Amino acid sequence: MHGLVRVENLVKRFSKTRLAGPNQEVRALAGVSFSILRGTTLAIVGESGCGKSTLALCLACLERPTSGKIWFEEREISGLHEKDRRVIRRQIQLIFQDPANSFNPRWTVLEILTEPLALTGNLRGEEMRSRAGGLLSQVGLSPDMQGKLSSELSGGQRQRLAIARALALEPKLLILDEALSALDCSVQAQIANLLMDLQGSLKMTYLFISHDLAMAAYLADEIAVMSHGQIVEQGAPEKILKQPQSRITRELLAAVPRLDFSPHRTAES
Amino acid sequence: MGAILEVRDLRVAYRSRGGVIFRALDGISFSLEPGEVMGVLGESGSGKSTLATSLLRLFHANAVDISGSVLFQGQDLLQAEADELQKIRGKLISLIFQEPSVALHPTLRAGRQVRQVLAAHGMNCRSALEKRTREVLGRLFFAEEAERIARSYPHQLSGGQRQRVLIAQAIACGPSVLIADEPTASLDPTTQMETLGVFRTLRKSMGLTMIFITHNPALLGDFADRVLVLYAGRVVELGAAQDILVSPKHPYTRALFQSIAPLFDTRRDSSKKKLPTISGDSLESSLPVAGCPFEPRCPERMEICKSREPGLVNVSETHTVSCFRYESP
Repeated sequence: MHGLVRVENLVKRFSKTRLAGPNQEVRALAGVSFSILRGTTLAIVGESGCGKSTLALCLACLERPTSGKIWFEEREISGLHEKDRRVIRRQIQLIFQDPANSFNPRWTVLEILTEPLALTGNLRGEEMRSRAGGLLSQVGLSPDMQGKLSSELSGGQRQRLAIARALALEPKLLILDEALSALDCSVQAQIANLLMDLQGSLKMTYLFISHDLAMAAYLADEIAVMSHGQIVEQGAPEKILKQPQSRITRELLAAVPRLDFSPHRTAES
Repeated sequence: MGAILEVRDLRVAYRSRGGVIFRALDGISFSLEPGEVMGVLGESGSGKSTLATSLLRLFHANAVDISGSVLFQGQDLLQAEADELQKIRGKLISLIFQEPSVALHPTLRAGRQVRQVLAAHGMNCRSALEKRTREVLGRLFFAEEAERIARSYPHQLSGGQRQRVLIAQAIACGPSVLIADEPTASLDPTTQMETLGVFRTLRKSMGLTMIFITHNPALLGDFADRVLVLYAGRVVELGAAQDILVSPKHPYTRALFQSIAPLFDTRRDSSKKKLPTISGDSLESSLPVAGCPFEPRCPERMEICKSREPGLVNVSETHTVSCFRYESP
């Protein structure tokens, strides 16, 4: 197995403009290195503001890192020209927390799905429609949904549609930025299962970004815990869960709400 | 002890633009004792947010067919005069919304937004307003932090701090009932735990009666006294928190609990094992016309479930379920 993605010492600084005084510099990424093997899942876990979304944007070629290197299929992509980056972008797709904000509300499901095909492919009307139907059934949606607006779908269906749209270009890497966080518990489980099925059938590689350590452990082959722009701990899920080394991992673990119930807790009322 | 809040057969429906009627709440009844915390469990579309706002008679413009009663200390809020109701809202019964960044005014400092609540309920002496605001914020923040928070605009605060400001607004007038609609849903896990801690402390120090609405049963574990499970606008299960969280009876509640990823279940331990899910969804279009609303998705459905809707049955003194499985023949 080869590494699909390799990131080396990635740094991203933003400058914060202030009305008075000198501009402030924010270090969103302070030297991040990792690699992801083909067909596996790396989970990046951390609290808000730890830099995990900036990392996603850098990898997806939507943001240029201040320094450091990103190799995608043995090719360095962070320093490429815009034109070449556009080609890479097709192969790395992003899925966000709330897909409702990333769909045109006046477009039908069919229009949403065929846009990426129309932009890149040379499929014609009928072919395009059958491809859209195929994508829908791939993510467990019924093909007769094509005429609906995205606002008529439930949260889980919308997230399925977002996945279908991302798959339209047959990407090699799917970045899931808090893709399950806004969903109900039972729907989270459905989408998590779908992601695992797709990984099995398409040999897809995932970067799963989340603050939910339980779900990360469930989906990932490896977990990296981030804090203040750096990876503080990385390893197999069972190792992270059972022998957390860093303070931040222990805090995240303690904060996972659990269903186990100790009777003494309600005694006081 | 008499109930402080009693809801009887509450029904609210929404009319969509196409004229289709969607029954968001379909006959909800429960009562709350003073000082009790009731967790309301429900997923999107179950009617949980409608329940939160309906208790204060805050209805959407397209709400139709409102019936039933909400008795607060014996007074029916659905029938009360508008000015009387205004005295109760935010003073005796407070509501905390889900999204703190939307619920706060973006161009007013946090302290002023807390003062506004007090002023709206008749406090007009400047020094008293100042004093009470400081006191309330002092309950929610460290003393040295409270001053700075009061002077900050919402965008200068973190999500957890904004949520605390909302809580400050809600408790400023010393209410007896607090309704919180997914108050921690948009927060980080660690902040979520902190905020839950705040609710727990307030409950103890102020003796608040609370309705805590969430989609995550795991949050209710060491907090709620009783749990009400909502599905498609109906109460499917209601009982002591311990009964429901430890041994849920309704097939929906059980399926919901199973679908949560257990913390120590990693993929390699359980290679290719899938999370148990509930098939289908609870969109209005997939609800059955007759019979139990959960029937199409229910793994334990029987013949009778299609024909009529089950009533609430007692499975123990403190636990009721709406399922034919538990009806004695």
